[in-house]
Amino acid sequence: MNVGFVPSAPLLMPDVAGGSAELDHELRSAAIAVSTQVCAVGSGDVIVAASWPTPGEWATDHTWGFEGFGVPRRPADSRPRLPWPLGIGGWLLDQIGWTGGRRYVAVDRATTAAGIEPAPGVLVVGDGTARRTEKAPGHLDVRAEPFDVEIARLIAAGDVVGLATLDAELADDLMCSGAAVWRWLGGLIGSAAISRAELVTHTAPYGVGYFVGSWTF
Amino acid sequence: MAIVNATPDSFFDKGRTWGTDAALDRIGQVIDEGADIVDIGGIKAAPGGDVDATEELERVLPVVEGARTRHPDAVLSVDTWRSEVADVLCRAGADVINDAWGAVDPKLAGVAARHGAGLVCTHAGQQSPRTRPHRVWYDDVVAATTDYLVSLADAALAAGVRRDGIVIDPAHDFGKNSRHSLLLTRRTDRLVATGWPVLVAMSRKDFVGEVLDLLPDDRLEGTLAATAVAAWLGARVFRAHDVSATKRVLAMVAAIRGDADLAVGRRALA
Repeated sequence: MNVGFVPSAPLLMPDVAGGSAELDHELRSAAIAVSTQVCAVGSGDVIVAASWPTPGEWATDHTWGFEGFGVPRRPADSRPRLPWPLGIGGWLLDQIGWTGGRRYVAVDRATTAAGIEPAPGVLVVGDGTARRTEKAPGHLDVRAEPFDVEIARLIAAGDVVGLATLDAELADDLMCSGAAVWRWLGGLIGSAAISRAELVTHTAPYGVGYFVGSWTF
Repeated sequence: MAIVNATPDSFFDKGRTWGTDAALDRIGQVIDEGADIVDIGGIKAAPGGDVDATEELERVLPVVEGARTRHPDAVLSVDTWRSEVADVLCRAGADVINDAWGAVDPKLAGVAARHGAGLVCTHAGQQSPRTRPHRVWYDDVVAATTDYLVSLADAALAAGVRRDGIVIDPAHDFGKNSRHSLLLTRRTDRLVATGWPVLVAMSRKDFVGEVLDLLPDDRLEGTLAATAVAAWLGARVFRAHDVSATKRVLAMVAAIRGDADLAVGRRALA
């Protein structure tokens, strides 16, 4: 199984970022590269997973769209929309031309992976804290940076259990959107043996912790 | 509506009117420039150090008292979300409560009613005061804002706020990204069509800055362009840092709309 970690920042979408899209080219390229690795499974489904207040699976006739951020999809597409973090994953799969199967899974803190059929590829959309600086969405919390540094270490080390057992309350305090889906991921992986772990990047240019990385089992 | 900050750290003026004397000087100046309403606030909108009700009153009360004495006919507005603060300030002579965080304190409308004060009903995305919007999503920001503002205005009326004292404010950038603020500017007519007078607070805000890639010091022209559009579409109150420039833009738009006549009518008429 290939697992990819990508940010859930709307500004990754060039149409959402508008004239500043080029500023985040490197992060976007890294996310696309990791998505390509996830899809190197060749056949079978890719699961796109993200934290979302309403857990559930979304049918594959849904697609991405960011109209709720004020950005019309061009050209227009009449298919129903995914919750936007899953939409980011769907957009990444479209960028790399993935034509295999897809499943979209939204999870909250209480969602378990029980009953989810494993897939050869899992693209996990989520971020660290949003309180890294005074200009950050959640303003500065001095606990944010060490929390993100620990997340980066866990991804780099392939520490499935560690990433799945982050302090949930602290994660909420620090506006860490990835905590729920990483917890769920731990359940999905179970006791599978990891063969490779890589942290491609950990940055926080806007006060939100972004991670790009991958695991192979 | 002229902005006068009794704060050391608001985003644009950064303490230029900090201290009672400086704030009162500024109030005199904006009234001279033609402001119809003066909006006095004691807490910056952005996150930062806590300012409790006691400190808020220490900052704002002497300014309201001084302004009331010096300018008995001016319309004084106070920008606060706290009913206990608004109550004291209305006793000191404030005429309007600018509830810029949008009914966080359910008792605020009652305070306005009790004092016969006006009330600015605001859509701030139901965010907690002094928090930033983060990845905010609206299926239809114009409908959500309009419907919410009408419900707030109706509730204010039901709470006893005077009908002629209620205005609605879509709160550009509060609980919204820049595109949401642009959409609301574009559809100011939808807000106007509710029948409630519309207040717009756009001065030097980030949505102007993100259109033009400019910092607050250089956002005057962008602000005035948005002001002109909102005025053309029927907005009635304009919360502004730059009073003279805003007044000129509004006079020009009023003349184009046919709502105001020439100040001078001689050219080709002699």
